[in-house]
Amino acid sequence: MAMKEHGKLTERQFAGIIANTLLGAGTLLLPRDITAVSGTGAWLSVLIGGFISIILLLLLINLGLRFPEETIMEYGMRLTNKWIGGLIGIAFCTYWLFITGIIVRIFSLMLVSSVLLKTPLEVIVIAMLLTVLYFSRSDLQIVGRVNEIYFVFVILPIMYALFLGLREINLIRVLPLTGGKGIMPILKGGLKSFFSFLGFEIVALFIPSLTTQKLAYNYSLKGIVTPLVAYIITMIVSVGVFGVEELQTLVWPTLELIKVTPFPGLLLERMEAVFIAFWVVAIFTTAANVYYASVVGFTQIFKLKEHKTLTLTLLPLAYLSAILPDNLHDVFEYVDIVTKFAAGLIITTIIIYFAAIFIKGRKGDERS
Amino acid sequence: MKKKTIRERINEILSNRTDNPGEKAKKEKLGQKLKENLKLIEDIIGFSDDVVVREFQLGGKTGIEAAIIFVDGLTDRQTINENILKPLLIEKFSKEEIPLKSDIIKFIKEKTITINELQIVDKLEKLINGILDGDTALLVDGYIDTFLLNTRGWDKRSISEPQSETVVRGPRDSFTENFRTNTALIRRRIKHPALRIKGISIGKYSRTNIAICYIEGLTNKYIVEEIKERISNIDIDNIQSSGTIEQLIEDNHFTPFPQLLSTERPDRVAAFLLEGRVAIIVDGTPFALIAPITISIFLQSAEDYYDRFIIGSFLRVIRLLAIIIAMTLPALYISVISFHPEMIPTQLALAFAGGRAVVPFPAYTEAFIITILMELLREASIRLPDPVGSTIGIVGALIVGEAAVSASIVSPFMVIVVATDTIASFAIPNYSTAIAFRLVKYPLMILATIFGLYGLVLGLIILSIHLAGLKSFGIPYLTPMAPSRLGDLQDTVLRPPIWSLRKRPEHLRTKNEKRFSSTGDDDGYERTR
Repeated sequence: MAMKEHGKLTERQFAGIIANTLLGAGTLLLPRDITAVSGTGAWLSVLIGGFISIILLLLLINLGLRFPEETIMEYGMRLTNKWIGGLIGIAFCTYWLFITGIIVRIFSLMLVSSVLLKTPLEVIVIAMLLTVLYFSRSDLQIVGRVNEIYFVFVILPIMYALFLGLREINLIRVLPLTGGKGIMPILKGGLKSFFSFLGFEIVALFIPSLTTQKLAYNYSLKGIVTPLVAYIITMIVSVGVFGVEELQTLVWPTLELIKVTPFPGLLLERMEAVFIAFWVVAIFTTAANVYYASVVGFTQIFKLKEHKTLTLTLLPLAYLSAILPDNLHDVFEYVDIVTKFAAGLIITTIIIYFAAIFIKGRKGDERS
Repeated sequence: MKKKTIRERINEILSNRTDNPGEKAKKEKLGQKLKENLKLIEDIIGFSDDVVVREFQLGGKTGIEAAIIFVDGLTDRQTINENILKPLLIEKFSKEEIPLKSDIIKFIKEKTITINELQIVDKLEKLINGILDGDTALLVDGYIDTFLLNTRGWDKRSISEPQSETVVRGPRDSFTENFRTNTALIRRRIKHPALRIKGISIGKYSRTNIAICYIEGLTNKYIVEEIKERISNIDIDNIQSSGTIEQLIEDNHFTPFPQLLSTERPDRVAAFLLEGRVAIIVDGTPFALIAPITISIFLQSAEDYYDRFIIGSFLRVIRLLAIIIAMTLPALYISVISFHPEMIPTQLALAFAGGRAVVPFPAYTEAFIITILMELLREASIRLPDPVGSTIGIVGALIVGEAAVSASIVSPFMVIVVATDTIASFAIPNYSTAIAFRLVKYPLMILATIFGLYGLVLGLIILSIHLAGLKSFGIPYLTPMAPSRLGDLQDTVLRPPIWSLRKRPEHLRTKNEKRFSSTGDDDGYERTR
């Protein structure tokens, strides 16, 4: 298949894909969701969530490197059998398709409530999804390049805003650093924060296309640590600025954070529209990468020749999943369910495939 | 029955083909009789007025018939008289010097004619093409071998200053329509045996000369081969200018962005050749094409490298700003005014509102009215002769703008925005790129009208996906940003000091990377110390 030629993706692009996929809707919700569970220890929860993701990511890469010519869809179907492997593949692709919609929905809700007050939600969703459609028709090389450019555009504004926010921190609100409620809330928060790290599993589709597969570990770590650091700083800054109690009353805590942060600049008075503009890029890369993964995954499961055939077919499903929740509250419930489902799916898959490798022989690389 | 008619038609077409002079020249052969040859040639060229045939006897009285054929206007008559007719008619053919009949061709070549470049051909097609290129043909009765004598010389424009790429500090010569002058201008700047100028002629009717220039042992040979192949695959009857070639060999057709750079400056071409790129020179066009190129080249101007690097870097940053402004400013204005007025400081917002209070249209209508007006002005001023053109500029920009504001059709801020936008688009160094960004402006304005900043950003995302998909002869358009080549990044938005540009661009994969040969020179040419 044309998708998996070696050398289509450089390592930097690989790291860019991971980082861009992670940084997205998570930044919008993270501060309120996690502090609700683990209080001032929220940053620890994020750290734990991050570590779990890193371990899972490394395991996935380890799995992928055992089959340097195949993606997870293909070796999955070969390792187990057509049905189990296919089912796991379909589960992954469906869930990717679903979170494409959910991410776009979350962002559209924020747009409607902050800057585009009179625009219908559906129109915003459709505009974003059409852009995603245009993106997903590209070749993997172009996907890699786009992610490479956007890495800078996504991370720099976020970091800039956060460091300016650091000045507003009131230390009393940040302490105690451990949350003071024991270990359980922090662990629970860790699971909750997992949503913000979702998306890293799409790399399992791209490992065969890497230029230098040896560097996969190295660059995937670089890719995932960047958002981890950004998340932790987001947590500390938003807790430090608002405090745990006030955070619970804010719908879009990160947006409020930018509203209260004074920016040194004379030309513009309020910066949130500008930051929302950068956020569009962040959300776009997440939704687009995940949607692309879903399309490519389905293509490989059903052994189609070209992924372009599916791009338009799957888009209405993504749109449906974006429109499905009635309101913001519904969206958050879906997010919770998806997070648990995804965590379960990723862990089960890794266990099943490693077990299959163990049973079939250590290398698992013997092909007919 | 039907089959027969088709076959008949094919036969008809085939038989008609011989009426085509080009085909006839390929089919017919030269004979030994002079009269018949002359008749054949005249028949093929069709007794055109500008073709001159002069028959004479060698030595004036030897009885050996000969004739010269040339095209008036393409040849230098002085040379023909002095160096062909004079020796053949008068000087060398005194009676005792007449050689044996079999040696006349050799005798003419070696002892008679004083023309520096000559070919002996026996193919009719070659002979006729030579005559049409400006050579003089010399036919001798009794021989199939004929001479093609280089007597090319026609009126040509002298080298003048560049029109579209002027510099304050730097050389002032530019290419002309004359092919040889152009190759000579490059050769004058790279006096190294490795400079290759490979000629090829394209166009069934126009037979345009095209030269592919590169540096042997430096330029990546795959790029050279690719360009050669694409050019020789061109099958068209007429090459109007280098723009035709550009559109026929580019990678992506459905894009406003140029994938070959056209420049009229030989100094730039020389610099690009030594970076490892290839230049294509087309006869009749005062522009050379450069390939492959990346988008960052459009930030560059020849002058960047002539002044100190701090100044060059500053100018490049200004140009980047110009591109951003030219592309997004009207869209930004529309989205801020219609969707996000809270962004701007209160005082300014009040001023905007005050200016717009009397305008009956929404911001986007206003923006479209005045940008379209601006496009009309530009187009009008290009078509008009110089003195009138500037008048139109003044009339259009000052009077119409002023009147439109006082008639409350547009707000004064809109005029400022569009004027700034236009000025910015003139600051983009390359004309075709400036047009590309000017075009991109309109979809962005429409998106901003519908979605505000959100639409503008979506538009920019689509633009960047489009750019990421472009290629110029296999080199991704956004190199060195994506795919990133850290070594090449220094010479994009900033212009690094000359001494820090130690290597040629990585992405061109040149065979000889070093620009400074402090240790062992590997280009096989001794360095003088």
